[in-house]
Order: sequence, then C-alpha cells, then structure tokens
Amino acid sequence: MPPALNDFVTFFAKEGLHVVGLAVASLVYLLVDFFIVIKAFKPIFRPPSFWFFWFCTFVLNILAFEALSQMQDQAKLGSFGPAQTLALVIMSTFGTIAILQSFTLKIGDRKVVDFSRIMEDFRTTVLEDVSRQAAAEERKFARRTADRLFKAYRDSPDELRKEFVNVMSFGGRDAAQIQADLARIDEDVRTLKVEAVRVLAQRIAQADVREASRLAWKAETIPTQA
Amino acid sequence: MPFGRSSDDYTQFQEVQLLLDADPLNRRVVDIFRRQSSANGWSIAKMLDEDPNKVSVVLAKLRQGGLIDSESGSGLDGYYFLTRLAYRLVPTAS
Repeated sequence: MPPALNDFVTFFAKEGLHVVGLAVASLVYLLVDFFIVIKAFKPIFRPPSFWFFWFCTFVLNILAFEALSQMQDQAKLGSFGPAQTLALVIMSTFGTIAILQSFTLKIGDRKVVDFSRIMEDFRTTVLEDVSRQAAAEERKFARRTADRLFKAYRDSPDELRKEFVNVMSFGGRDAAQIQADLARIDEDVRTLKVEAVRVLAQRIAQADVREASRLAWKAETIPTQA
Repeated sequence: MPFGRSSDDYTQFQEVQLLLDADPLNRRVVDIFRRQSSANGWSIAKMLDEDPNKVSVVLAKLRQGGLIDSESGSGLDGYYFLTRLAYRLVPTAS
C-alpha cells in the first residue's frame, strides 16, 4: 500500500467516525433549517450551492471539534468513550452555527468583521436556489398531472369543460367571465392548432394541481365518469 | 465587509416595506410563500380567491421589486418563488 494511502487509512480508522459524525450533524442541522422554510426535502438536495454551503459548515465544524478536543486534552479530563465523542460532535456543531450566526467585530461603531452577515447572505442565496428548484419540480409535476388529465378526458371534452368551470370559479368571477376564458382558449387552440382538451387540462393543473390529480385519478379508476 | 452596507440595507428594507404596504394584496401574495416555497400564478389567484387579473398585476410588481422571480414563464403562467432579497428583508419569509 502506498504511504499516502496508508496514512489516509490510518487517519480514517482513527478519526473517521468523528469526521462522519461531524458531516452528518452539519447535514442534519441544514436540512432541518431549510425544511422549515421550503417545506419539502427533495428540492434541497439538488442545487450545488446547498452542497457547497454544507461543505463549508462541515469544514468549520471539524475545526471546532479539533479545538474542543485540544481543550479537553489540555484539561486532562481523560476519555469517556463514544458518549464523549458524541457530546463533542454535538457541541462543535452548535458552537459552529452559533458563532457563524452571531460573530461580529466592531471597531469605532463600524463592523470590521461580520460573519453573521456573510452567513445570512450565503444562506439566502442557497434558499433562493432551492426555491427555484422547488418551482421547477412543481411545474414538472403539474405538467405530468395535465398529461394524465388529458389522456383521461381526451374522448370527453365537454366533461372537462364542466370541470374547468368548477375549478376556475373563484375570485368573484361570474359564469360570463369564465365563458370568456373558454372562448380565449378556443381561439388559442385554433391559432396554435393544439387540442382543446390539452390546454384545458394544463390550465386546470396550473390552477389546482391537487384537484387535477383527483380528477385524473377518478377518470382513470372509474372510466365511465369521464 | 464593505462599510456603509447597513444604510444600503435600511434603504432596501424601506423600499420593500413600501412595496408591501402599497396594496394589501402584495403582502398576501408574499405570505403565500410562507405556506409553500413556490406557486403558479393561477394557483395563487385561486388560493387567495382573488381576480386573476389583479394577481397578475401584483406578481409583475413584486417581480419588478425583486421580491419574487419566476422559474419559467411570466404572468399567471409563471411558477414563482421568493428571491434572496425577500428571504433577507421580509421578516416572515425565512
């Protein structure tokens, strides 16, 4: 085994568990923090900026862990086994986050170093990337649902027009306004040479994707309804 | 860290507040993103039980003000989400 690889294996055998623990602890914290805002896990994992943010937090977490370990060695407290390591991992994670969220150095009323601002700018940039990803996934889901609705109602366009009127009856709009919507759609259909059922299905899925999904499911499971 | 950035922040914050206070519907649209991170223009109108034409105008204003952006499309066909400015300056956004 080459010496470099040997050193790595020795380091990982000795420190690997700590490193994995610190990586997981950083990831868990960020996932909870982002989930509270985004309310979904899937889009969080996609943007590269999230993984860069996690990597930075992870590296700082390792530094915090090493600092705490050094302090523990200097205090000659001895070792209490895995529970102590776990406590150090948790303390270093919370310590890293607390410092990054609040550390500010002011001289003469001016903020010379403001980690909290850098951290917040970074976090909001990642939040925007994750939200953009969530919007892309929502659009794809609506398109898939519209496809299902289109297939289910392809042979019964009048039924879908009725459902369109139901879904689009909101905001104090009367029947005449919804009929005007339908007339505009019919005009678009003639101009663009697309099927009216597809356009209606797309609009229903845009306005209320849950209702569109329910209608598609109903038509798929009870074909006579459609 | 550039000096004087706090006063820029304050000016931006005031501009955002003015935009949100200009019409109650502006704030209601932004509040939608507290419940979900993204939404289509038509679905926002339906969720708020508002006239889609009014919502379309509000979406354009909020987009122009930099609070929201669209992943694809514009008007009611767009899929909107909050920008970093909104996450930073609208207290309820994050």
